[in-house]
Amino acid sequence: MKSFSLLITLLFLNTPIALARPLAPLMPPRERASVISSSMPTAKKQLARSERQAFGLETGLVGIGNNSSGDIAKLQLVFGLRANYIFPISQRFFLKPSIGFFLRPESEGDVSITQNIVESGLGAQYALVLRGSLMWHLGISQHLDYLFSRISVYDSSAMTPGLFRYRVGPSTGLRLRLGDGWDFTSDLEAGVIPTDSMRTQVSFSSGLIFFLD
Amino acid sequence: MTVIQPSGAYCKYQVGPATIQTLDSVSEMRGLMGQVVSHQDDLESSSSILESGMGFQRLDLRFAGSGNTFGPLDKTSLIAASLYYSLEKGYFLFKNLDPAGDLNSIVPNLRDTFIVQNAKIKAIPEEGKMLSDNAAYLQMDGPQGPRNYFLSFPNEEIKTIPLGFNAGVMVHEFAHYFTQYAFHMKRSEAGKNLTDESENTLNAFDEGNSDYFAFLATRDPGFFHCSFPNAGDRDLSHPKVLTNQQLQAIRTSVDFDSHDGGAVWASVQYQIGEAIGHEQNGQSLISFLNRLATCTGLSSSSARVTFNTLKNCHIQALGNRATPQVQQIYQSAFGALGAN
Repeated sequence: MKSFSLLITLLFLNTPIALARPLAPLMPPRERASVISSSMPTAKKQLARSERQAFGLETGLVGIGNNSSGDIAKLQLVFGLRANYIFPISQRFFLKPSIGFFLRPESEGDVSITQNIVESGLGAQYALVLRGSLMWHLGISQHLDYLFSRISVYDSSAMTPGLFRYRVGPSTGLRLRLGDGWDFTSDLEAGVIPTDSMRTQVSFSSGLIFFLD
Repeated sequence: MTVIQPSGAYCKYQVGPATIQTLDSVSEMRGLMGQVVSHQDDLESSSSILESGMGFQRLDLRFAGSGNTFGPLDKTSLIAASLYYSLEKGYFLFKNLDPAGDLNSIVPNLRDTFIVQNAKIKAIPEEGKMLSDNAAYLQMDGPQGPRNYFLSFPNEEIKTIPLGFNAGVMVHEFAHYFTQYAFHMKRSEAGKNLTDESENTLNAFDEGNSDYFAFLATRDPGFFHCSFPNAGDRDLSHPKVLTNQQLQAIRTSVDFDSHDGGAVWASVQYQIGEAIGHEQNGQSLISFLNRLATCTGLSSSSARVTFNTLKNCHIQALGNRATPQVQQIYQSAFGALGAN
């Protein structure tokens, strides 16, 4: 009887169902790298979106804190474009260098003044949520801006001297999968300018990210 | 400092660097001329605002540059710099014409002057509409003595050179400031209690005289029309004569506009300047303003003031520069009406 029971047990354990579960690797989460066993050398390594190099193009606005002449919520709005590069460091960390150009035209009568901001930035982001086609990241962004204005009246115009300015602050963003090769992205940054009485500055931008790998 | 400035020709303006010499703080636009400020309320909503200078706030200004070279980054800062620049231009005009024209040696609290950007005052106290497209000099008596203001009202309808950028208009207001201290504050109580006719004559003269100093600062006799191309003729280079209609308005105060009679005075000064030299005439007018309260008798008593009274005081101040040509210019403009 004892021998029969052992035989039955061995037979049962030898069934594919009984054996497969403890030995087979768990399916990796969809957004994480699939660790494919070496027994499947032909499978392509799939990277999470936070791990993929990408190039992004965004339109956006920068809001510069101003108590005297804000457009909304005491912010002067400056509109423009930003290009960025996403450089993964680890599974959830990535760097986001960027360059951008923003401008704010104002006029009164025949006098006009256009404020220009040329910015270069570097953000460090952590992918806090990777779920389905959504990614939410959080981090810190810093920018070195070059500011100047162009003033015009009738056929006369002149550039003001330029000004370099450093700003730093927290940033966050959402990415939404649009297809295999591209995402929609929205980024929000807040910061202060230490050399300008800690003037606040926020920026919001949205656009597309194209994966390079 | 990069500002909007007149370039001498008729309504020709340009952007360029200008030296602002009297600023203590660029970021606060504060210096000898006072400080460019704003106020969120109607300036007449409470007597404490203008009498005590309550509630005025420094503007949040942004400039790029360093050392001695700055440029405004936004419109508010550009207007603020242009306002200060224009008033300083007026200050140096008077001072350089005659040391007795140095307002810094006349006004003890010159630095406390508030240059109010986008000033809010109801056009008619009972109505909600606010004054716009205008500028003013204002003196208020307060607990600490007289307080001086330049008011630059919001631009709404001017499509050419807004008043905040029109150096002529701001120098015109600066000339009122000088006239206030050189003449009006020297009038006795009796000298301030005049008939409407005399007071209207003085107001008209004050406007015209300020227009002439605005011309001296900008060298543009049509400076006013750079902002108001279609307004009545205030081009100083157009000779004008005092009309019966203007005189009637001065006498009765009906349809009286001090700028009408003022335009005649201004055109007379322009012609005199063309005849004897504008610098000489400017010097004579500063001397005239400093002596006007005495010359008219208003420093001690009440007196009737006509255009002839003013003419005679100016001729006195001109001394040997009062050539027959000058007399003729006055005669052509005022004729017999000037004595009425």
